[in-house]
Amino acid sequence: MSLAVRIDPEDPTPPYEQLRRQIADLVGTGVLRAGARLPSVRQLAADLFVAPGTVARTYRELEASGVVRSRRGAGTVITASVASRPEEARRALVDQVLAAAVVRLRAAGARPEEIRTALDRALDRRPAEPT
Amino acid sequence: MILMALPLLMILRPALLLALLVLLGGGVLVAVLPRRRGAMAADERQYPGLAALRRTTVTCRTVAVAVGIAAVSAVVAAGGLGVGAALAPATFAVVQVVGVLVADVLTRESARRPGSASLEVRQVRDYLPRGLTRVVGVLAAVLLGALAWTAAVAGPDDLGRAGRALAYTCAQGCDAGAHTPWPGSFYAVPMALGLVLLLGLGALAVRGTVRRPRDGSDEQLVRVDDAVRRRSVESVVAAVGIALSAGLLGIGLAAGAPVLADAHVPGSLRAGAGMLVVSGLAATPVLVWCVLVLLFPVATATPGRQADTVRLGAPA
Repeated sequence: MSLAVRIDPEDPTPPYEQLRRQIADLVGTGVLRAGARLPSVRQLAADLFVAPGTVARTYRELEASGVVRSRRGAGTVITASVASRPEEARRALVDQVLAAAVVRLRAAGARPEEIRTALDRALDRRPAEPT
Repeated sequence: MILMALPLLMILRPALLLALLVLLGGGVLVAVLPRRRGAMAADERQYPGLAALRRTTVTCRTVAVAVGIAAVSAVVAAGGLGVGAALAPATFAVVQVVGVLVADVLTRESARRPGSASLEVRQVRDYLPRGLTRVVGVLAAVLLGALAWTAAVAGPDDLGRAGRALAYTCAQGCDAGAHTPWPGSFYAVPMALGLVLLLGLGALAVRGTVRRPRDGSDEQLVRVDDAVRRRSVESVVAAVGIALSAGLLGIGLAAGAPVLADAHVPGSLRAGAGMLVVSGLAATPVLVWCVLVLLFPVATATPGRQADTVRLGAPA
């Protein structure tokens, strides 16, 4: 699976939060497993063309929530504690994604009933659950 | 056995040495050249940045070779008493490494798409050519040991210039003598400084190449870009290899061979000189290998590695 991350300039969410969310999602869905190393702050900042402080804040936020652990010389790695609690991580992921989507839609003027109707349509269109 | 045969070799030296060097060099040419095929490809219309990366890298490499040759000529002409010649290999190599550095600076944006990346971890060891790096590492140790010994046994020449001659005394039947030029401190110190500069620049160039930003979320781009990075890193390692192997060859031929062929020189010194000659001969195929790698820059083909087998250019 892809380890792609993107900063959407149209998204009102701050870049560090967009990045934090995507990394947390990758951990929550098991794509990034315990012990996996993340790129250095400088490398990821250069690749994304953002300030190093943006990536540094992302990693700080992730470390504060226990998703990663940073050690000088050893880099930033995914901790075992979060990656081994997929249920909890999945619930947190659902909350995060929907909360961010609602913020963006409300900012664009969408009404709550429009958002609910669209969510129902999306759920009806979802692929079959794996058996 | 090689050491026993070497004195005879030294007596017949010009023709036999030349034949041996041609044989060693030719063997490497035959073994390595067919593998240096064109590789790496992308649809350049879809990836204009990669097209620019290819053009700039090739241009910088070509200019570096030309400038390197010119720099060597200038250094040899400027350096008196053979110091220029001693510094020539490192000079050429430094220019090649600077060429890689310049190419990296000019192509910094070629593979990057702002706002898009991958959580990949790029490390130097992922791009180093393993075999060549190991051989170059061995060469560095051998050259360091050789220069340490030659500096330790050296003395002043007839005009009092320290570290420029190998003086000896005979046990009986001859006068004391000296061989010059000899790579004592007079030559060894500038050579060592040149190599330290080269290694420092080389480390900088390799690090810069590996850290050059890119959009790692695009698999096709990563494939091609990785091949370019490997070529650049390989060129740096090859340049260092040229400096080290040419240095060993020069010491072996210019200093070791005359001492080995002189029966008046005490046995211990002749043995050391013999080791210099053997090291120089052994370094010859490595020199040819590194020159080929530099002049025919293709990522070292690894069986089954798809990235190395793609062809660069517009699709048919």
